[in-house]
Amino acid sequence: MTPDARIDITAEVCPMTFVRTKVALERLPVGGLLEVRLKGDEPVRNVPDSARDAGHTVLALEPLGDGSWRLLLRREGPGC
Amino acid sequence: MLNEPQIQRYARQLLLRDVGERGQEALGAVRVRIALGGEAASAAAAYLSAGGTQVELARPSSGPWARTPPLLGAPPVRPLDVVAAPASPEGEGIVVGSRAGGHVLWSAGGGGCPACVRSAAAALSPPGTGSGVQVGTAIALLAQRRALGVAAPLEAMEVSATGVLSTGGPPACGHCPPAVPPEELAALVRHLRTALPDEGCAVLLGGGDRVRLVPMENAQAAHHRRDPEAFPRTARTAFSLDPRAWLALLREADAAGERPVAIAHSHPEGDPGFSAEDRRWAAPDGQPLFPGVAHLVVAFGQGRPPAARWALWTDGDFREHPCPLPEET
Amino acid sequence: MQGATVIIGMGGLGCPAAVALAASGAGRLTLVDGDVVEPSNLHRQPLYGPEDVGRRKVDVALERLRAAFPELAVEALCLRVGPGEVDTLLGEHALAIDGTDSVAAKFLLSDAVARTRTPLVSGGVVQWGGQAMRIDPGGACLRCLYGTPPREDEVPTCARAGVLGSLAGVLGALQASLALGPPAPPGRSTLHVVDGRSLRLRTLTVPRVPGCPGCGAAA
Repeated sequence: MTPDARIDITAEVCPMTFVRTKVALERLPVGGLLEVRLKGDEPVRNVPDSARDAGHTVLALEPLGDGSWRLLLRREGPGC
Repeated sequence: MLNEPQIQRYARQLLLRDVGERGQEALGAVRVRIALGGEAASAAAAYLSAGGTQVELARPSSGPWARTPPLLGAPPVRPLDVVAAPASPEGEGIVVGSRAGGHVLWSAGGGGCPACVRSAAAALSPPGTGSGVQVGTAIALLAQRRALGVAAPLEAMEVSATGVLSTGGPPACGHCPPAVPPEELAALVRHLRTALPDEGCAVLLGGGDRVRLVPMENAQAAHHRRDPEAFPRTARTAFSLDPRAWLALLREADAAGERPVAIAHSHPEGDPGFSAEDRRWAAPDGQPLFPGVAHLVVAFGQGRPPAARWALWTDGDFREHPCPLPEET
Repeated sequence: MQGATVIIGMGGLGCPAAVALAASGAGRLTLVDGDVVEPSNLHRQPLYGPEDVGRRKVDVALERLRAAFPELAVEALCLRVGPGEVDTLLGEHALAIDGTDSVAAKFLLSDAVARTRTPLVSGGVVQWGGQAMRIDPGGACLRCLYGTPPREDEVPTCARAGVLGSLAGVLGALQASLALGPPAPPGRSTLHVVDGRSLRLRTLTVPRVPGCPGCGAAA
């Protein structure tokens, strides 16, 4: 699946990790796909959870082999 | 779209489900004009500017707060006025007043009834100087809610003389029917159905921001059985509330900080208009028997969904208003 | 109010509590916080401005309060309160206000009330909701209310979940009101719950639990 937008939050610390993710998701139309590159125990645990809490869908979360992870999210709405 | 400094500054608000980028932009689109003085104005201005809303103070204020100007992408376009009772805001706004040693704040907007706002404001004295931070932060909360679009058309907060908070009660406005949550209306319809083919009745109690249904029994059947000459009509065509049940309800409501907001009854056949008998029952001597209480009639009939209408005593007569009912599941 | 009030945590709750207490004529305050001002604090801690970023919170708060309230006797301690300090700090004050932001800190303070006999106004705010409760010696404590403390990761902190600035102000001001008010009747405490999303403001009576590990032993 080709994402509609990509962000790299490997340089961010919580909670800016999810702030960036949330803002990027909200800028997509409903159904849009966001790919997030992240790393670190806290972000890898928190960002997918926070995205789900906000009503969005986690489509994939996989290690990229260099210590970072690829998270694919679908923007849901309209209440999200 | 927010720029980088705005995202950094308002990060913790962007995380909120009902805020996000759009909400933060909405906070920035409002221009709050505060026509109060003192610590309440100063605290309100501090919190609103810190949160991303531009504020104009009619009276300059000092105080310990850092007056951090909001980071705005575009100039604000939507005025929100904060005024002192007994005045009321022209459009969207907040009125702050005092009553019984405490403060009352009404927030109006979103197409609410201007008469309700004016009568709420007129019932208050000008605000005092105590509890400035309590009142100021409450102003900021009401204003942020209004800016974010999550506020009810008319909502209130109270700050007691000792600075303790409570939700303000629904105004007794003679112009507008009370706002009743759809689940309570649905429960009302179900209750009235169980009384068919007789008329059924119920009371709606309001307290804080809640309105809830209290099903009642139609005492007409008992009255008619006991004394068919004094009570010639049966429960088929008339309803009445048992006086003891009514008094018990009033006591229970009072203890819970609630009051009757409406009395509902059904017309098993026909339409939901407030009939001549209904008017005679509700205002036997040309004055309402239950002042400040709205009347709701729900009409049933073969083969069609129930329909309802409000009747409110306004300027010397009962005026009717539509009452949309939720679809029955 | 006799004696001094200590405000533990000068963040979203501590700032409005301190100002409300100072404005009410409270004579003596001690401000305690170990942190410096960060940009993400500014939206809900309006004692601090962008020019204060990087400075210690207690230093900035002290300056602003002294300038605005010349009659106020106010002192500051730059430290993060832990098990080593809590009893001494509470013991030296007539009342404490919880402006902390972690579950552990809140329970630490609540547990110290019975030991030190110093009343505490506990409080917390996150997302759209907040709670405040005055815990007096002999009254109900946080463990009477919650049983065991929730796990740190079960409770979203401001860092993760976000918070509306004005709501923090409302809660901190409420804490000040409870500090200025009467002690709770023995055997219970009143929990104030503020739901800023529905604008529902409720109070609940919390009865003291006999033998409670937080407050029962020193009854």
